[in-house]
Amino acid sequence: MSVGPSVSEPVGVGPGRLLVAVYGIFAVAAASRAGLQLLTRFDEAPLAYLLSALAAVVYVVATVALGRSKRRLALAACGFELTGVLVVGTVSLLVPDAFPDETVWSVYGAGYGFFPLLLPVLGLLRLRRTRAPRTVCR
Amino acid sequence: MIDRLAVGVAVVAVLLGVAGMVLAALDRRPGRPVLQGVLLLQLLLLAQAAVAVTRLVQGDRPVELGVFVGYLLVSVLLVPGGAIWSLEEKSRYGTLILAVVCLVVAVLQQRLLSLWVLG
Repeated sequence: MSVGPSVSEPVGVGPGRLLVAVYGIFAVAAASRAGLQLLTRFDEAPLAYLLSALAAVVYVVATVALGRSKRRLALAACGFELTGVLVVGTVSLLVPDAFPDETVWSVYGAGYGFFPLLLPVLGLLRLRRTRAPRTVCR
Repeated sequence: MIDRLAVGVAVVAVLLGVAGMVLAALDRRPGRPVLQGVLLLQLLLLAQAAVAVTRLVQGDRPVELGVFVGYLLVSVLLVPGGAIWSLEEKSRYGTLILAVVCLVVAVLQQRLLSLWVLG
């Protein structure tokens, strides 16, 4: 059986389209930076750089998922990002030596204009805004 | 990289960014002047990239070569990509996308210049 008539609004339209654009720019920035770190300086801080690379992959996934209205995938990606930035951000403040500043998520993404904290919140809000009305949900 | 060209890119990009935000606030689509401005911006970016590539080939190398090349690549792809992405959005948010892209281009150009000068 198909899922029936789709009653939720498309995510990547209107303000959502702007959000996807910003997500996309950030995903490209994070991915290229992480790629470069892995290629050139992996030995300096393997854990931090691997974490950055993982974060970058999730940003790419979130961009695509939001743009194509893959709601579950988008929810998972944004949720993962928000959890990551909160956990790593807190740990980086409590145990400054645990991560170098170069992680996207260190200090809640302060090195990246707090975009890592802002984007998943906006993504989740957008998903909530566009979801199907509860009465029609099954 | 040419310093003055980088300044020119930044000025045009910021003007377009501000114009785009004002138009978006007025709930308007970018008109012909703005789109022509975006075209001009892209031509400036391409000229700057051509100069940079020529100098790279001639042997001028910034210290952070990888980062520089990455920024350079993004700097010429961002405007076309953003324009295509924004054109399909007929609301004010399409205008806003264009504005944001232009502002990012301005920042990117300054980063490129500083990477080049430091190198």
